[in-house]
Amino acid sequence: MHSYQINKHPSYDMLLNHAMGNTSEAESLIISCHIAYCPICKKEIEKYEEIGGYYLTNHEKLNVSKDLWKNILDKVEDLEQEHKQNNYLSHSIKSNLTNDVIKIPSFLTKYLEKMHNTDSWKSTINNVKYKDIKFKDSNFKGKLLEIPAGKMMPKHGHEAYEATLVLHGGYKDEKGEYNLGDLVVASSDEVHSPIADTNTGCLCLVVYSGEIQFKGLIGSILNLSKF
Amino acid sequence: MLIKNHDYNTNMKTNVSNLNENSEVTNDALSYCLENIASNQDRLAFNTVFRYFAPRLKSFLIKAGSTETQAEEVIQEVMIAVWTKAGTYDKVKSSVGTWIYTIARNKRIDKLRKDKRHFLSESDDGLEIPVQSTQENEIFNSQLSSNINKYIDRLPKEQGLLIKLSYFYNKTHADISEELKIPLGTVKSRIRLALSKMRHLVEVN
Repeated sequence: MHSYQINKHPSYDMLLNHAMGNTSEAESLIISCHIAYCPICKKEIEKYEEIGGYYLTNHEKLNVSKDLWKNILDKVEDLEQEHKQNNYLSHSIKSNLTNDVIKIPSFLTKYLEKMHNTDSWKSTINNVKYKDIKFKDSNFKGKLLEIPAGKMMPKHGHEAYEATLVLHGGYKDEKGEYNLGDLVVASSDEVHSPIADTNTGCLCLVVYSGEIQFKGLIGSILNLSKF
Repeated sequence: MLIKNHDYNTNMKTNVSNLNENSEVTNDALSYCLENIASNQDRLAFNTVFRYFAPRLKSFLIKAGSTETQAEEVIQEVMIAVWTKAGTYDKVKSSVGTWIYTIARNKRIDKLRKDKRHFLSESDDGLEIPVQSTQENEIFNSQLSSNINKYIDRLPKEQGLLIKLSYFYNKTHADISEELKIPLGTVKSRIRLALSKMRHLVEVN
């Protein structure tokens, strides 16, 4: 299953923050999705979770309300139980990039609003398709992007930060080439022009804070059009 | 098939009477409880898990900044997830404590995520999160296990404290600086150092 090589990982600090529950929804989404592809980071996070588990098990206690147990028992009365391990990559998207369906991390599905076919996504320049992802914290935004083979995203920078996870194919920019499962974090001072892989194109998840600032002529049109 | 609550409560008193507040419940026993929840919808086993974890979760969540009501709402969601997902628990992969910790962490984020942005590596101002104030000596007195101490207490004392304050009690760096009378920059650099040491300890063990 893991026949591909992942080269770009979240930093240790991101993994630790995630394990300790100190990340925003957007960050925890993209890290959770990354570890669906990356056994190395999954293992790293599990080490920290183990610390959390010890910590909880040995934590001091506080009495809970008397009716809490009864409320819980009432709630579970008619609930179905799950008996299968979650397969992290069990959901799929129909994309123009390939005739096969693209498997995506299960964490993503609740953000898709049943738009599992990229034809239902919005279109922008260069036949790029995108689906906006909304987070409760409006400082963060997300997009799923389908970029056709060899096509370019306008050169852009960010006010705060941007993290990109490759879900299919790959892309390159001024700094390197990125493939399935790679999680690339760009900091605020970086401006880059990503180009989708010339054979496969690229389907990716992007989360960012602040506004994306597009550069150049096409970019300024996109800025105006509130891509 | 469903046991009525009142029957169940009577059984509970007799059968689980040995599992009172102070008795030791081993990980094996808790793991066995999860198996029974999954295979027999065993409410007795479910209650054992509840009685063991709910008071710990409550204290843990309140220390991390939840109100009492929020904490109990999270506990309720955690326990519902324990009921529905018990069959997915894999005892080879993690302890019951770790499994429930990860559920609680996710439920807490779902519930409380507002604008807590703190990104240790990307921005030095990143780790600022609002929290209730907790007295330092309360934290010293809190009952920390030999297990967690195994990691944290192998750090120099002050670094261990900084980690606890920062990660488990969600103190902002500014709060910590204020409470311990250490300059903010020093707090940040010491936390970084402590983290890298702790990571190393976890790897070695």
